[in-house]
Amino acid sequence: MTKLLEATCEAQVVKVGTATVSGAQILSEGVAASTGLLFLDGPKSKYVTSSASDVKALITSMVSILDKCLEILTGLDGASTSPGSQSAKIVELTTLKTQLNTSKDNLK
Amino acid sequence: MRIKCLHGYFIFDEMERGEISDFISLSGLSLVSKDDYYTFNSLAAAPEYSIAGQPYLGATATQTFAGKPWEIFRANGLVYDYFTDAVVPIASILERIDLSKADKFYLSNGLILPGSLYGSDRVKNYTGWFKGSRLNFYYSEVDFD
Repeated sequence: MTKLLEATCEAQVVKVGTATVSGAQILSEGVAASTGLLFLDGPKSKYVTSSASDVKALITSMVSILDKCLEILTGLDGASTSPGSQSAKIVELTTLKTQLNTSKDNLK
Repeated sequence: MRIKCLHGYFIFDEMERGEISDFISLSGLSLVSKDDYYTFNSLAAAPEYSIAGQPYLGATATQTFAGKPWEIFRANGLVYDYFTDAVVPIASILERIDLSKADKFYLSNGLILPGSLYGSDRVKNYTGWFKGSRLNFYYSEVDFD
């Protein structure tokens, strides 16, 4: 018999309401706070969350990076380009890359 | 009436009309209908899962488990004590029983409390029968741990 319970997970701790479910297998990374379902079948317990918001955040970050790349390339392509004129945008691009890297380690 | 005790959970099946009401009036114990059987009132709302460390019918579950109530009782080592109307750890049952063989059945003094000691063994499951206007029980099967 399989039971489905609404559950939450954060820092790899699964909870049903306020009760911690120790030993539950987390089928995602389980780091960032998430809501999902706990599958119980006999002594087995597995937690599943939707990765849709992770994917959405990832795509949003990648679009931001591409936007920044476009800005830089547009600037380089312009007639008024002078040395150092893109440095501020390159710093912003580096920041975006760092954010994307961070999100990789903070998946639900 | 057939009485199945499965790992401390009770299932009563009425074989002849009136047996449930006879049992209730003679024993003073409350039975209610659940699914296609009767059980004790305190067991009727038994959840079909337990979470270790959380309450389960007034006791504390030791295992995270999903299944039928009797499977959860087995997993958590719980039994229903109808004397105290409480679900308790099987190890807390100190009752001792005597069983005698009569023809194809076992006889015991009253309804066997699950987890009761018989020698050094504990009663795990049984199938008992109640019939008639007196509170007599006989048992066609008794299993021990």
